[in-house]
Amino acid sequence: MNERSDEKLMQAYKEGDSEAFEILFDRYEKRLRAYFKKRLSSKHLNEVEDFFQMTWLKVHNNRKSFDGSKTFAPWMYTIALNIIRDHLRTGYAKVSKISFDENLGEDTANRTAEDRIIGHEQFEQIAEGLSLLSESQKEIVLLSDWEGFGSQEIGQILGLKDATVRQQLGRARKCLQQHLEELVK
Amino acid sequence: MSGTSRNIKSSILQALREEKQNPLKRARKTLSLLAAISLPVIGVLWFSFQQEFNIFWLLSSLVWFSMAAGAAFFYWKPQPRIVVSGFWTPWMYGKLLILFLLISAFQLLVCPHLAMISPSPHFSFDLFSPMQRMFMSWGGIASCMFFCGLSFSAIATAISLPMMGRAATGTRSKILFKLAGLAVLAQLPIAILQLSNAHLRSHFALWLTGSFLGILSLSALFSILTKKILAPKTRRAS
Repeated sequence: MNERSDEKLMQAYKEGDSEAFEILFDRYEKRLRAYFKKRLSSKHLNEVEDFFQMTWLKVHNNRKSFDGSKTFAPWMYTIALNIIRDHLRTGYAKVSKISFDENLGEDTANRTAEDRIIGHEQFEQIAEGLSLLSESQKEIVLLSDWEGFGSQEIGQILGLKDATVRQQLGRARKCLQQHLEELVK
Repeated sequence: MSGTSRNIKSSILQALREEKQNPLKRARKTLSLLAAISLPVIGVLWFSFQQEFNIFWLLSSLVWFSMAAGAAFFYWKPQPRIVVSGFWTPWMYGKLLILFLLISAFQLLVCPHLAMISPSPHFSFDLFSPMQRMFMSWGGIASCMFFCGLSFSAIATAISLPMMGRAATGTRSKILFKLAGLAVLAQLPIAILQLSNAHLRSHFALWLTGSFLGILSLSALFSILTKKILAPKTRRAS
């Protein structure tokens, strides 16, 4: 297990260290692909691999411009998000219909069929709730609750102020909570 | 790890290795490619039209050679050599420019009338004569120049775009204009020969417009077709 931070690896990769690139690639491979799968509608799922490859090509081509004082993950996700926006500009507003994909979960192997059905139902309810949110709110919720980014990092990716992110996230969660409460009633 | 992951990873690793490579080794590879492209072309043209050679031929050859050198440089520049739909790298542009340059030299060989040169006694291709006669009958030399430009560039595009494979799928208009510009640039050596002839000079713009339109329309059509027809097929297959 390599203990070097992403930023140190990126610094080494900038200087041409191929081992550092390999570690970074392996570290983010599944996560990035899963992000594209979650972010794209079923209509665009065949483009996941293209977007995945394009992100790494852009990371490689722009690696010299990476600011070592900043964190790597938000920088890479900014590239990924720009690729989605750039290529799906016309249909971008319709993109985020989240689809349930059992392969995305990390702990699916030990789950029973009943657990999976419940999980599927919950996921569908959350997906339905997400479709009620605005595009930016949905993006913030995905980056925060799925990808695990903090508000500052999300602000870096989306070009928003920290306070705006927190405010939007609060509103989005409240909206989701109301939606789920209505379903329970 | 999936196949595509392996591909992108190995192509980036290869690019990193190339960056560390000795510049002399890279220069040798570039020169070898340049020689492989230019020696046969210049040899065949010299053999065919040596009586016609003048200062404009020399200038035209120099321009052709410089562009071929640029293409060879971009081809061997350290970079990931991978074809991703809609992503164009200097390697792909280099490959495309080489192809367009070869087609433009071939064009001169099979249709020397484009530069008001008599056909070579060694290469008497009569393949395009019926087409030229038809264009001439439509509106004389002006029509012939426009439609010859259009036809040849369309043929060049038809050959080159399928070779570009997935990168050309659903290519956006900005890239299409770049490709058309690149193809017209590769016609520059012929344009120099045309400009040297007083009779052709007045119709030169028509030929250039025809070439530009031929490439643009066909590549746009190819892009739309691959996006609309091939992409859904791939989706169904997957």
